[in-house]
Amino acid sequence: MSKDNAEDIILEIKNLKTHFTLDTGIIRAVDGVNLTISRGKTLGVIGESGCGKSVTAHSILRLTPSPPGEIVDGEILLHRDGEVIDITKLKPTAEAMRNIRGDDIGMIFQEPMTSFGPLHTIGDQIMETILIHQKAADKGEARGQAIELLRQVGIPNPEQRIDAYPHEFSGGMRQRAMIAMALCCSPTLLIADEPTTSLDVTIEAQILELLTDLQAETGMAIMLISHNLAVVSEMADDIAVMYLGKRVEFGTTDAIFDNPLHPYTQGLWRSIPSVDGPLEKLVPIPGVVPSPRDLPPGCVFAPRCSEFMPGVCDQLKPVPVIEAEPDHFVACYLYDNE
Amino acid sequence: MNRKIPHSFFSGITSSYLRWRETRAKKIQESLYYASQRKLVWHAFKKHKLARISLVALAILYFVSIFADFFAPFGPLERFKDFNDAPPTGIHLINADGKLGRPCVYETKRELNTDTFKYEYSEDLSRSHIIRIFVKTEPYKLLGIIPMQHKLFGLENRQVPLLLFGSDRLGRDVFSRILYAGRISLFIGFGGVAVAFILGSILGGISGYYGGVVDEAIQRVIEVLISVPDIPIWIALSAALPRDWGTINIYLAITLILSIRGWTGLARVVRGRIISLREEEFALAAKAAGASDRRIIFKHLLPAFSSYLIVHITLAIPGMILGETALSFLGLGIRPPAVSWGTLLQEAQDVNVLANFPWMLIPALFVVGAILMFNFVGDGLRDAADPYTSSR
Repeated sequence: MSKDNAEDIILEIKNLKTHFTLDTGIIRAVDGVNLTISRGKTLGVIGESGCGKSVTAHSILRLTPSPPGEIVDGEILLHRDGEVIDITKLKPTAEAMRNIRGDDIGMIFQEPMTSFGPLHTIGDQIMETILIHQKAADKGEARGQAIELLRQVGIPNPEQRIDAYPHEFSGGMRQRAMIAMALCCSPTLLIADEPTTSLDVTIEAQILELLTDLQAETGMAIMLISHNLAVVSEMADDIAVMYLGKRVEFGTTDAIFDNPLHPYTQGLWRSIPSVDGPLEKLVPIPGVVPSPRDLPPGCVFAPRCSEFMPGVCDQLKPVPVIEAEPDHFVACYLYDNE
Repeated sequence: MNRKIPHSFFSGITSSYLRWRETRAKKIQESLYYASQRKLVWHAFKKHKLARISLVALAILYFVSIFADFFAPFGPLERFKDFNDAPPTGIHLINADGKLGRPCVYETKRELNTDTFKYEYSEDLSRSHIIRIFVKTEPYKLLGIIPMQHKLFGLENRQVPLLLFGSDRLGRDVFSRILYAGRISLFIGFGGVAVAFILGSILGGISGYYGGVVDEAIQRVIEVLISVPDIPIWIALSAALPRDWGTINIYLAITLILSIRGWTGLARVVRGRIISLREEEFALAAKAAGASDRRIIFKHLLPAFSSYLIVHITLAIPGMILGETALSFLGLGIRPPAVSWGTLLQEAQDVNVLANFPWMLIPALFVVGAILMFNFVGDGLRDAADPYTSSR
């Protein structure tokens, strides 16, 4: 957060806009997002499906298919050893961009089942990443490193399992191997795009614990994307709430959980059951996420908002940075004093 | 009692044989549970009898063509004077005395029929020659390297013609010429397919992986190419080849001409597969790990359907062979003195030849046979390529 020293920041996203130009119109998947991730911290990004969480993550690594996806505005600033690189200025296929992928920023995906190519062994695929980024490493060294990484992520008997094919691994093991692959060049930032969504609850707990341990060990930052509020509250230091490509609320985990300000965040909270509180009827957020093709004119959440203010919310777009309380930002006119 | 012993003895043998067969079948079945992909494919391929037989036959055909120096009794340009358009020489197991003996041929006499003004060939039963295996000949070099002086079969007296498939207008042995011609006709398929494969996988891969303008451009080029009829474009291109080029230059040029269209089908297939595969998460994961596009296409995506590519290539070879035959038949492909099946057939173009010397059409049987066998092998491979989905 902004409390941290400026030199601890490793990634800044400023007013990022990633749009998809389709025949049927422009889809504003990410439309002015600001995020800051600091060394050793975990940033949770939450929101419903289709809110632009994954597109934000893919934009950081420039993985959005282009065309039709294009970063039309904004900056993604990567701080590396004192220099600042604007990722949006790099070509997606450039050597510099490829060096950032895997080397500075690692990524793990939602589907461990399909994230490994079925044709090569797990070891080959981890070694591939090592060999691409560490030009000096030879095959033997890479293999040693891969075994060490697999051990680090808790694969039993890594000397043998390194030669296994992905189909011989269970889902949890594959996600562990995926993490090992993302870690192999000790990235400063790990993007975890719904890393546990397709795993069952016990494995989910193990994977999250593994991520926490690895973070303590290596000091890397994690950008955790999830729609699972429990997972995020467990892991994250800061939370960004996204709705329709916009960051509607941003603050520390405690602030967001104890004092959710944006009506959308409040709605999310009301829709999860509480384990220790009294049994209450769950209140879903009314309506559905509108199509990003024709967004409401004012605040994009206005049609579903319980605090809807006629004449304001349906006409004006909220400024994204209203600091409602220190270090707690919200994009809502309820908190606009002017 | 006497009868019972052999009975039980035989039934014992039969039942133990049946048991052995059963355990063997079971073992094979069990070994398939953990067999590698390659083993599975081979197992499925072996089940396709026609494909298996064709594969062996093709292998023999290629082998014989490569070592035509040894297998053919005569050289491709060796002439028998006074034996123009001679019919196939008869091989006799029963000699003139009516006794069974070693295979032999009789010397052929040529006489002019004064009524028809045609030469007529008849056997001179008094002079027989035994066909010998590994007969000694003038020294020659096998494949131009290994010095040898034996041929697989022949007569000791090399002046006596042994014409298995008759001779052509200049008195050359058609059988030997077919074997030598196989060197060009059978291998032009490989060359053409190799070029088509490289072009097709690279352009198809790029087209499918990048999409957009590049894709559009490549697809339009393909559409233009496949809308031009084969024969005119081949004719135009081969007519443009300089007359003074040597055989090897012509051969390479013909290979290229044939593959100009050959790659388009493959490129479309590759494009389609790549489009579906590039959306897989492992492609994205490889990209996120910093792999280059080239690496992703050729290391992660293309091998995912290599079995399909192999089948496609096998089925493309006959097209190339036919193309070469057609070009040479029209006199635009391989030029004499080089021999290919097409140039051999070129000599069988007129009605006179068809009516009087039908053995000149034998090269066509080789063309048909080779094409059929390639198709059978391709069919077998296609069934085998995905061993899990084959209907058993």
